[in-house]
Amino acid sequence: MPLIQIAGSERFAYQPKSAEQTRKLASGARLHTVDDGDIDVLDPLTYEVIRHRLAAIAGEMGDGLKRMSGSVVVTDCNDFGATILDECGDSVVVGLYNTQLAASVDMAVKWTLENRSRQAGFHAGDMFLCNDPWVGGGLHQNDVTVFAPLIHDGEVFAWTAVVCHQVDLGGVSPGSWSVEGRDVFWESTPIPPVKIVEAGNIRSDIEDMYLRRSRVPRLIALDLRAKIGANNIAQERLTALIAKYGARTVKAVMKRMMNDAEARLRAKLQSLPDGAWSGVAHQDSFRHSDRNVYKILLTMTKRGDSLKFDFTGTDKETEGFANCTFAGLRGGIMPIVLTMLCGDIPWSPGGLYRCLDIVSEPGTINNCNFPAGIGKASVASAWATQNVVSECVAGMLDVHPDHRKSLMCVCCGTWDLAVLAGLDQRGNPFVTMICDSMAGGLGARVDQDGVDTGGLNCIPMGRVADVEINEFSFPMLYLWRREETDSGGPGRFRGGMGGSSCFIPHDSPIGGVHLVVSATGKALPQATGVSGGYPAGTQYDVLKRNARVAELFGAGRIPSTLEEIGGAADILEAHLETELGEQDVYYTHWQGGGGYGDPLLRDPVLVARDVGARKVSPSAANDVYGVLLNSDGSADETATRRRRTQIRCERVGEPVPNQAAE
Amino acid sequence: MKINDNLRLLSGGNVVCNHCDHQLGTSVGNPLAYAIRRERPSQDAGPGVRAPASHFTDRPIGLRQVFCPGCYVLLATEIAPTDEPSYRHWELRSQAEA
Ligand SMILES: [Zn+2]
Repeated sequence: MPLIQIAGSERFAYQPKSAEQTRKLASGARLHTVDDGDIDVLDPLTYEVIRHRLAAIAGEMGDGLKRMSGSVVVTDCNDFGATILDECGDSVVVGLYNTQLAASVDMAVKWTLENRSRQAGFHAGDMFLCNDPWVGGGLHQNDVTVFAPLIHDGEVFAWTAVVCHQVDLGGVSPGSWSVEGRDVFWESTPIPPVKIVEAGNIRSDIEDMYLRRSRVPRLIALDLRAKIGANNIAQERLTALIAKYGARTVKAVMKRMMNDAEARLRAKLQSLPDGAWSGVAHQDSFRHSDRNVYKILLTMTKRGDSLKFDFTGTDKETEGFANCTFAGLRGGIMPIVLTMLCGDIPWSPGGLYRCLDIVSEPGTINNCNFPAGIGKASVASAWATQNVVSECVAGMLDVHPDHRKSLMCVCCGTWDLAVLAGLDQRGNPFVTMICDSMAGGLGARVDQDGVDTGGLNCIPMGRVADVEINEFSFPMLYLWRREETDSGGPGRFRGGMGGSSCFIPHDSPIGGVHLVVSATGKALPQATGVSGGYPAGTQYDVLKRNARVAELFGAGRIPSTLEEIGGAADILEAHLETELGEQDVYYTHWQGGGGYGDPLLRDPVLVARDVGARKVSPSAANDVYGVLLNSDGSADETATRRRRTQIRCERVGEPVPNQAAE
Repeated sequence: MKINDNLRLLSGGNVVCNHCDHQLGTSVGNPLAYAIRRERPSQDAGPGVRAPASHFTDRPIGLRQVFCPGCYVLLATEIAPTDEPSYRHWELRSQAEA
């Protein structure tokens, strides 16, 4: 049925408020605060000591989470967020983990302050759980946030929050990745903030309600405890900090961190010329068998010391599972603000957001209403938002002689998702997301190539799980994981290469595994270039049925190409749920980073080096870079000069001059 | 003022090619008004575009590029549905140095 907004859902469609408004709306709670005088009297040394301590605590929350979690997504890939917020829910510091997630935790805390201050109330030892992306906290239902008020002298002093991706919370398809979904009712039902821990004890009634929906409740229960533990660590450290320096001083530091971040971002913006940059991010397909292409439009206007992000013209919300809520839209903006604009500014989103103005129409694909489907929001419309923000911010920075060095072309156009489910080699039910596309290619810079398989700009500490860890944890065997030739966007400076993994089901007592594929960027690349640079290559997933891997293994050979594997090749559409049989092979190839500048201006020596290292194929060197090689692999200067003249003319449709005289 | 690898803004508001000084447009309005625009199949972008777009979508997808008329340097590249306009633009409002 068509998407019709559910009456009563408006209450959960949260728009973040200023600290003053939150304070007013949370009238049932006693909130600790300081005034400007307390901030002014801070001495610089104390400020720096406490500021670094807060950052260290956010880091320690992440460490704690990793030590307690049982999910490879968390323990090996760092796909989680850790945040410390002030009493009004403004983010003071975010850990260097998934900054998409950290970018929307403030919304969940502010909603809770407004809606839970009288009932269920805030007391020492309480923690809340939320996975409702309309409220905030995470970008899709798999992002479950556990956040806790820090109570000091009967007042809410601050909040600590941890959010991480849970591998399955129910819904039609394993991994909660319902590729045939039309709206949110095909997916995991969002849980608005509920008190999961009361006075230090887990509420078993709430926990049961939460875990009952999952295909892997024991793992989810373990991760719940990991998040509670990480909050406990933060609360203990903050309490010790207050005991040492006093609540007033610690709070003054928190406020000043946000003020400083705001002031420094405003100063940087002021140094850039005023202007407007418009861009677009495309996504091919919103659900299984959908062959349309959707767009997110952005006009980013810089005036004085502020930035306006106007998404007017973005496509209307669509049946499928790839929309995102307003939290996803913000989650698409903040990672780029942090990495491109705030490399030299403290990461205090609560202050940085004050410099940003967002214009977006509710009911669009990156600000959807309930019940639009949002199961893959994080790597769909939120990620696409990030791509277009990246493109516009890069254009703005490029005009500044110094700040241009901080720009990066779009990184890894999106996640290439593969969810595996079934029985593992120990006979236990399992569901997991293969996180290999965490090794996406980074975008090119104005003076250097993008880092090959360097990661994602939204997860600075993101990493790809070791092949051995994946094989140990899940019933799979890798044929390879490698960087892919020609996957980086061509340019004067080349985008970082994406990679591929190729694996078979292995050692499951039921033979094969269930496979959910969800990856756009196949009809058109999503990691765009800048200043004439080409986009990265497209995503490319191939399933080979009845391959001859067993035969090759029997002969002592490990295949290294799709051709060698044999079998019938099926080039997979963006969204698909299927079985991976014992004789089948799955090949997943994710995107690299966009390129910078005209590839014909690239130093031929660098192209020759790339061909030697198999980063660029000889045919791309010839056709895209116009570089011809000598038999020893070096660049042939004369032939290259002629070839480049030829391409230059041909690409604009002008006659090629006679170069024979040269 | 340098705008990017290929463009420069002159004090009068004219945008010129950084490589050959050819005028391309003005910073307010259309900075690439006089540039050459060409459209080709998306797979002409090179072997990185793996499978043909028609395998996945019914929309026409193409490689669109913008070139300097003076030296044919590549100013902008996008792969996008060709049944919609290009949405990639910019404008600068502040005065540039000579
Ligand atoms: Zn030129």
